[in-house]
Amino acid sequence: MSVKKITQLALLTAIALTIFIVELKIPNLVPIPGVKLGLANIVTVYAMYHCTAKETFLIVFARILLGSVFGGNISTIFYSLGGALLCLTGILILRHIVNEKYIWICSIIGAVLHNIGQIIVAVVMMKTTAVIAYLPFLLVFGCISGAFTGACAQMLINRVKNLST
Amino acid sequence: MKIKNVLIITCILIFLVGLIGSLWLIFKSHSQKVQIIQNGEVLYIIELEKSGDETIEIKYQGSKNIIQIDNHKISVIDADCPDKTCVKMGELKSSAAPIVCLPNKLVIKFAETDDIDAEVK
Amino acid sequence: MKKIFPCILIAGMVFLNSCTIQSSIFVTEPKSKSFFAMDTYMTITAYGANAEIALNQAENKIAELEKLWSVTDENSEIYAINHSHGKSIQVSSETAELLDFSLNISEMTSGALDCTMYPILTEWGFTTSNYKIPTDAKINELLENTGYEKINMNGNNITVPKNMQIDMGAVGKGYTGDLIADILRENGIESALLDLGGNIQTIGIKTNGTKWKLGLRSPFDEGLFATLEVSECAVITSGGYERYFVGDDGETYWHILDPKTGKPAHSGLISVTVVGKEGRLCDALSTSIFVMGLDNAVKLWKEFNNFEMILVTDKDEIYLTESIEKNFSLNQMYENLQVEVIQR
Repeated sequence: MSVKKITQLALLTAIALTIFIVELKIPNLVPIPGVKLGLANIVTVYAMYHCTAKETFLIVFARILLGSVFGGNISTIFYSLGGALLCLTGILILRHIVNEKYIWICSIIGAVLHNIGQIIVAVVMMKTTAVIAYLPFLLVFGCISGAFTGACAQMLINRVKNLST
Repeated sequence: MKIKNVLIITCILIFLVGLIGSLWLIFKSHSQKVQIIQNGEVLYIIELEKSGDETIEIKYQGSKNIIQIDNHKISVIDADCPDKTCVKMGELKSSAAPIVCLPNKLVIKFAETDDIDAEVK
Repeated sequence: MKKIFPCILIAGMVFLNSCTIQSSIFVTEPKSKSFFAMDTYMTITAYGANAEIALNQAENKIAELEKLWSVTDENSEIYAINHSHGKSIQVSSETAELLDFSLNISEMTSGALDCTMYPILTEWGFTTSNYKIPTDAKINELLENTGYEKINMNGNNITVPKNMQIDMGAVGKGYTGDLIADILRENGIESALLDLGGNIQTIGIKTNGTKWKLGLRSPFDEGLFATLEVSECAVITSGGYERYFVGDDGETYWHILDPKTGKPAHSGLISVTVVGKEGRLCDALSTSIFVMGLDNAVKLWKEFNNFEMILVTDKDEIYLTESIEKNFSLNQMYENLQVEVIQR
């Protein structure tokens, strides 16, 4: 891995982490566990199309790890990890068949997969299927937040086209 | 281009399924029995209609949630987790939205409506 | 153009957020009313736009009917009949209809139901909870002044011989259920559950599209021995467990008396549940079948074909009629009970 690459990844992680921390400060409009905009995933979606699978995993897991340390909520790390794992796996397959122009589609499906992953972890962790009741809500909000982060990522890509390596 | 269309339709379908599911859950009737579950174990079953005002403290590995029953409505009034989503969720209203405290592995939900509507005697 | 896209998304999000937060407004909440009337606790639950108005009308109607039919209220029509000393009394059409119906059931069941048993019920203490076992001589003396066939009805004019007293306990609540159900229907209610102290009457099905699920009280203990799923009908149970006392001789005496002996009916049945379109029929039949016993009940069922029943015998067997078999399920704790289906 070249120094340039490491720097690029570190930069992306830092941006993601910053967005993540800032988003924590935004009061959650919908008081449903697991529902949030997930703005940090703008970086994830971007990385999907500009880095290798391994690099994307690194960025995301570094962000989650540091995010829960800085965010002061280590206990929820498993939910994030479970969601991220399913989401990343899904998008890594999708990125081969979906053009970068339609990145928002990937983003939506990624967000939905993330939510499904979270629910699976929650069912295992809390040892109750009661939390599945949230799945429909999470699907709806996953679509919305996925479309939103996807649109943001699209704009980002359009603007930083010249910068990318 | 075809794949793109298929995927867009998939997204719309997911959205619709979620929407219909949400609506169904919101409109679904529920019992008056509430279960308080922690770590998969049913700690309490409370009949809201018959229960008086009460405050229940539930501890989990050093942290705690304080549950309040006030005028036959149940809510979490205090929790020492960082996000306090369970407190913000307010009163338990529908079976669609159980009160969940992820860090403390606590779930407050309406019992499944396997319950009967009335008793013939 | 590109900037419109995220704008729409944000607008959509804000809209959806407000939807979820206010979602409870859209839920069709049932309107429910509970009150004490006719010596029991009643709960009426109705779904629909007019539910509140309908429930108020229902409660008023019940209070009105209670005033007509109370045995103890000095202003009631039943009280007037019981203190008429053999004179003819003009009553309201509701009371006349109720009495007429009660007399018809008495005919239909060959006297297993008799609305003139009130003095004997009082002698046993079932009306006051001052229980005692009357002597045979006393019962025979009181039996002289019973017999539904001695009641004379001429339109709304009722003549009950001197020293005889009637009470509408066995049909009153069932008839009330019918009248209340009519009031709710007139108000456009398509889904409602009436619980008149354990006498259940349902209108339509539940708003979620499923049938009403009713638990049947076990005659053996405090639990519910079975679940019955019904729509648009009345379900009424009579059982020895409802009101009883244990005498000094260690025997259990319950409040359902055999009009022929003046003593608690021992027909081998300990719980009778009748399901039918009309509450009055279910109410009257549940009592009379308890008195008649299994064999006569089956005959009655085959002859009239307008009700279904679930019978529990003192040998822990359950008999149910074939049409409700599919809606009936034993609860887990009572699975060892033997179930027999009565075929036509």
